[in-house]
Amino acid sequence: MNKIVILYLCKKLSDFLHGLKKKLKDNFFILLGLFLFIFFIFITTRVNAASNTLIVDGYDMSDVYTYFNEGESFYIAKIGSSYRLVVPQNTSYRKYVVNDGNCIVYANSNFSYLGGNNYKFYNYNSSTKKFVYGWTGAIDAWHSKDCIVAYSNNGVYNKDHKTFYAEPSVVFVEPYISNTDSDLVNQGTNRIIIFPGSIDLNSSIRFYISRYDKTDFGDDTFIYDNVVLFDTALNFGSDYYKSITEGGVLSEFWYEVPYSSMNVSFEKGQMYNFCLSYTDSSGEVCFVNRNIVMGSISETDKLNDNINKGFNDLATNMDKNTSEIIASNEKTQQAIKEQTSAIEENNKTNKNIFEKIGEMLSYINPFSENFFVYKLIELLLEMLKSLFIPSDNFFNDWLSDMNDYFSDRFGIIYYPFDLIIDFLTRVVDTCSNVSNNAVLNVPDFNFMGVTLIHSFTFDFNSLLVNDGLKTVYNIYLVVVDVILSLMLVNLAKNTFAEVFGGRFSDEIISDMTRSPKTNNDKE
Amino acid sequence: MIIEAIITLISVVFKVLFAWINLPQVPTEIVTSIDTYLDLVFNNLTFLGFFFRPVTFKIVATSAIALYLFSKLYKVTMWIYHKLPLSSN
Repeated sequence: MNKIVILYLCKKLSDFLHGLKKKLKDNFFILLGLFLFIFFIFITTRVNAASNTLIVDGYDMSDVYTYFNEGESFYIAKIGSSYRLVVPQNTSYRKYVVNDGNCIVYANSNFSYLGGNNYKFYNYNSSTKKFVYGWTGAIDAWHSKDCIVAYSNNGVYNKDHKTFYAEPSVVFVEPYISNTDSDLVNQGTNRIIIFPGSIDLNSSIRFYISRYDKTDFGDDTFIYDNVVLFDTALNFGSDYYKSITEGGVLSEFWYEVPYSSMNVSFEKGQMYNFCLSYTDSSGEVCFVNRNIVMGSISETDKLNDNINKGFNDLATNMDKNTSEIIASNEKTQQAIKEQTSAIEENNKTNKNIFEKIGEMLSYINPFSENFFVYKLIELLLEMLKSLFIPSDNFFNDWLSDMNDYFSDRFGIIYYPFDLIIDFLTRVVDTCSNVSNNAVLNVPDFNFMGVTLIHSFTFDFNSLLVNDGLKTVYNIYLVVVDVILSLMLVNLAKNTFAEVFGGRFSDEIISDMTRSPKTNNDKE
Repeated sequence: MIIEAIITLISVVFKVLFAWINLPQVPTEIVTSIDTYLDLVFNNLTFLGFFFRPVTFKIVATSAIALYLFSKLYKVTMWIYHKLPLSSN
């Protein structure tokens, strides 16, 4: 018995496998397409998941992507040695309140101004599932917004531990004195002009002038003593601060130190040091030195001055020549424009003359529409028309005039006719002004000074209070339309019978309603 | 111009003929009462628009008038036609 059951099951299994094989063979391409589709979906999901991963200093913030909507941004900035990641505040972001030492992510509704650095912002595009980035300056509006700020000391990386945030590549420029050597030697201008470079206006630049006092011991042995003659700090609050603003925004600033304010007398042949010192971002003090021997200038400097002067003269001459060429060119363009205008005017005049001649010839051309005989006939027709056909309002005016005259002369006898005319006029006006505003206006009814009925207004449309009544009302209107149409058809039928002969509707109906004749009746 | 002149002449003849007649007018109270009544009737005729579609009514009324006038016009035309010696009738 068991053997039979096993054999039966084996047979069934074999049949099933055989059928499955056949089905696979028949639907191979469909199954292949289905498999590729599922594979594609799987791969796409994985790739998206991979590209949506964000790790801030080892802390996985990949879930933050799931909370971004189209157009929302977050910002990454480097402030000093720490990185800050700023995302818009949303209650769902509060889950990122963590503190793991290096990386602190917390909700902060009143964090401090981030400073004057550039910030890289990422804007989420939900259709491409990617963040596009750009650069922005300091955003004061962050003061008033609830944001989440992620601090990290070591950088922001993506899943592959490649740099996700890149610090803006800003080239550092040292502060410098813009006066030339020869200008400093001879104090050609009455002030020293200092540009701050990359040092901002809140950071101080120390400017000092010192004199080298040389003590010679012979045998090429000597020492310099550096004696400071003038020393000042240059920043936003100093007296030497100068700036340009455009539209209320600071555009440029620099420092101007007049010689008169230094109270320093420079000796001819003496070497002086013009020094600028500042503290860089790492806290190191840096110096920019200019050593100048007063009252003397080297041959190289003279040569440079001459070359510069030559270049300046050349540039001036080039500017002058360029201006002259431009002026000459403008003059030529103006002359060409005037000439073109004159030619166009001439062409226009010639065209008008030819048009006039053509028009005159068309009057004597029998094949032209303007042939004078046609015009003559047209004129005669107009004359005949005006001779027999009255003007548009003649009959109306005449009837109105006669009506007034008869009403005035015949008085009480003519009033019934006047009333009929008025009645017909009202009927015509009413027929042309029938509208869907089914409003009944009842005025006051007074009798011997007593108001019997007060005036009121009743709108029939107010009866249609619900959709059910409106539907019934619409059906009623359709029925009325059908009845009116049938009546019109009946009238047309009777009119046709009256004019061209035939049977009227009532005759046909009476025939139909009469009892049919039987064979017995005929007999 | 000729038609206008003839009609104007007729009106002048009427005016000359009836110039001597000067009957009294209908009392103002009666005219006012009748006007008030007609105003009351015709100003409230718009409520008829509630019982049938004005558009349908205009089309049907115009067609009915046209049909009625057509039969009358046909009879007049045929009457004139029968009076002409051209016809065998």
